[in-house]
Amino acid sequence: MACFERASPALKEILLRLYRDERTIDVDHHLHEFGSVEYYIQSTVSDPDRTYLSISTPILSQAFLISTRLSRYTMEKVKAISADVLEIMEPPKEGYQLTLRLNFARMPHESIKTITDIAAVQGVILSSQLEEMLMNVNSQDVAQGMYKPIKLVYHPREPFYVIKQPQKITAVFPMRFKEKTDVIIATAFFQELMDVANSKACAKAPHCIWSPIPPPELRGEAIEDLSTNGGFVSFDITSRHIEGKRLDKTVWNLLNFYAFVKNHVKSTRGFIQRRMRTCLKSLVEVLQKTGLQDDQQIKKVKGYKRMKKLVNFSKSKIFRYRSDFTSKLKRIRSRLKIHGFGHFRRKWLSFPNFSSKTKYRKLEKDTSPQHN
Amino acid sequence: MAATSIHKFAQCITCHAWSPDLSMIALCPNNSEVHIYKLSEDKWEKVHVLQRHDQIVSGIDWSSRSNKIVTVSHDRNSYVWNQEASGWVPTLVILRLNRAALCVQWSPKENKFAVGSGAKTVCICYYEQENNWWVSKLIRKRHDSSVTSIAWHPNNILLATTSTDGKCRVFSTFIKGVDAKDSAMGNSADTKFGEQIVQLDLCFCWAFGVRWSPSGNTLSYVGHNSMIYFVDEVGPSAAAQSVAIRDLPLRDVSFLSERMVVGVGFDCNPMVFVADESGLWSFLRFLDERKAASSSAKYGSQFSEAFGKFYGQSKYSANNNVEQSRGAHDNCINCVLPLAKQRKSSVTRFSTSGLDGKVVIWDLQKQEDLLEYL
Amino acid sequence: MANSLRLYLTCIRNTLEAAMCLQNFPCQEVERHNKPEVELKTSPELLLNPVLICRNEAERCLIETSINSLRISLKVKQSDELENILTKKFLRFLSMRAEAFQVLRRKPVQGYDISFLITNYHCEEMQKQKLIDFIVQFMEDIDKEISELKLSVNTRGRLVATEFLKQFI
Repeated sequence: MACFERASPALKEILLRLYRDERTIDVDHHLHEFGSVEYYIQSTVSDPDRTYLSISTPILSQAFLISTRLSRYTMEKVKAISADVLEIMEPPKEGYQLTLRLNFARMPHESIKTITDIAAVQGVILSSQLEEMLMNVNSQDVAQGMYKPIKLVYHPREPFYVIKQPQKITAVFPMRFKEKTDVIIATAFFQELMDVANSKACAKAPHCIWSPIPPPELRGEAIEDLSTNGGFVSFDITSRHIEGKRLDKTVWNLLNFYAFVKNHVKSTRGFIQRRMRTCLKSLVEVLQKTGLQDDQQIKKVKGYKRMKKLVNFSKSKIFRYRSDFTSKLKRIRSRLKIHGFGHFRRKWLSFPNFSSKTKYRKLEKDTSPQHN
Repeated sequence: MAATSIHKFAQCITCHAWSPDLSMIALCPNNSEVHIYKLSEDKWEKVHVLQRHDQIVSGIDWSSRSNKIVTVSHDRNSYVWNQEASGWVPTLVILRLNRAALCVQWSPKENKFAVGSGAKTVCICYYEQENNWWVSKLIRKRHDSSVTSIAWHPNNILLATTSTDGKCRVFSTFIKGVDAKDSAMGNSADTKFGEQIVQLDLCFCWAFGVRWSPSGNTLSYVGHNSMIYFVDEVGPSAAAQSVAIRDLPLRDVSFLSERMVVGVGFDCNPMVFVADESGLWSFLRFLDERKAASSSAKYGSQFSEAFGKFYGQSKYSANNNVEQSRGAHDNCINCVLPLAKQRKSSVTRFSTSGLDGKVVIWDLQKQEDLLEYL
Repeated sequence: MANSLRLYLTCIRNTLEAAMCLQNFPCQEVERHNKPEVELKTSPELLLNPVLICRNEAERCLIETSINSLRISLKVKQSDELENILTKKFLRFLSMRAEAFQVLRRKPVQGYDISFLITNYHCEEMQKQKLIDFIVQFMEDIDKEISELKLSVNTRGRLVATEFLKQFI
């Protein structure tokens, strides 16, 4: 579910194929996504009008739902995807929470849109659960003073909490990252997030707080849920964020917050890597300029035994590296011409002195002018 | 201009030596070979390549009377090369060293040569007629570190050494049967082989480049702490002078006369030291006048690169003008030799070679301020 | 601050100029070997006193010299965690590509972020002045690059945060 696209691309493709192709063989397909979601697609040649799609997805909150069955609200939402095409089977297949019978014969005109919507069924199930919770903000629980946090597990490793309070709901995300670097990039991001949320431009957005220690609302939760390396991010959702159409968006944003942060961290790392590469290139160029001005352009082909050992790389490795690099460049050059790349290549290739197996030096008197 | 000829022979030169008639030069292009070039019609032509060593050649000396070349190398070996009809024929000299040989010099009478080594020893080699064999006798004790340079006293007995332990020492190399007792040698003839005459403990850093004045009265050597030392009356009552320089350290020195020494080193520019009438030594000046230019062109690499190209193209036609901004040498100079066909008390010409692969010949004939010291 | 950086770099430049007087020197301890003495440290008489140049507590430069080699170790300023991680990443990135730099030591000397090892062989093939220019420019670039990198990471974060929060409105 850590996905910005609501529809599952794999499921969509399978459904599209089933819809378009002449079915010559039976389809009996299991599909797993994100480790915890499972789709099961069944279709037979003998009965082309009936395709069965079963879904198993983790229940958002064990505490909130009494049974493993989906709530009526969810059922309604699913049905609303396309009442013509799909039909909810009762009871669902064993081991799944929901089974849909799809009748492609009754597919409306904009078939692709409908199929995309069907492929997003898991997202619908998930967000409908949260929507239901949020909609109950102002209802009886609050009146009874029930501020107990509700733990939402849409992914086993990424639980978050929703705490109902008077006038608002607070969503608290304990943030965990595998690497120290990620933690630091994310922390920098959270600080920016707080700044932006407090700025005038985003006055209407939910109030956002990042803190390295768990907020007081989470007191009493299991210790393993409260130990993080990335701190806690909380959003205060007020009633204005769950009005009408905004509800859907808010829910989706909250469900995807983790994915959003992770994506940011990942792309920032990529960005850092790219910048470092550029910097490396410019530094190498500086070093290349340090070479002595060869008046006669003596090309030295002397072995550099000691130096090689010092910096610990073998001749073959350099060769491999160089030849790999050249062939890659050649490939690039043959497909598309990058301005200035040839220059770089020339520089790169002309620089190391660690070539040669002979101990002799070649004296090449090059009378042609140097490359300028 | 003091530099009369500049020629780049290789990427890098470790040492060089001249043939007796100064028509040929032997040099090591920073590898295990020795190349011999001959000057014919103003052009240097490679005439021989001596290949026998298997590590970098660290020392070459060409005897002026017997026309023999001796080479030493980091491979611990030494060869004496004889010119025969077929070319240069090597004879291996068993030095009995277990570390690299660093420097070599023929004795003035050319019946011995000395080798300084990384084994903290000095080898004195002489020829045994009956065995047709070069024999090596070692001075084992005394040195606490590598022997970086050696110099023969004109009397053919005394040998001065410098070492990376910072000391300069003088030893007797009297070998019975090789050296005859001679009244001209004075007291030194009474000494035994390997006896230390004096140990000069002036320098607190590595010492390099030791040389005797033509008469043998003065000894000079340099320290890596940017000092040059002059020692008169070497013996129990030696008188030493230390001259500090404000530039980078020197690597080698050479006496041009009793009163003038030229020092070369990391500043890439020969330095002239002179003694006044009272015998007081001082730094006179750089020989290559380009100090100001080189320091101002420190940064702008693009400019100097462009200039370098210009220099490279125009070097042969008009090197006189360019030298002012870019010196004759542009990397460390590590070898300086006086240029004279016979041993003379003073010379006006000398050659330098360095890590920039150039051999530069300098002539002081037109340096009027220097002539009074020659 | 910029002024103090210039002084710091000038000091390093001058020290390097004096220190980079290297020569080919074979090993005294091991037969037929020629290794950087500054790494071996087997003959104490072949080592000079190390020079430590400090700009402040966080930034310093250690220059260790021997007869045939020179080691320059840098500690780069890291005022916060983000700078710390960026510096570490960046210098590690460069160290892993040491072959492109020749003079870069694969592992920094303990207590430092990055080390260079310059031997007499480098001085034979490169111009000393430009080698020093390279080291100094390297230091300048690292300093500049880390600050710029930090700035752009924060700017990116801000843009992304704005995008995220806008979706609620």
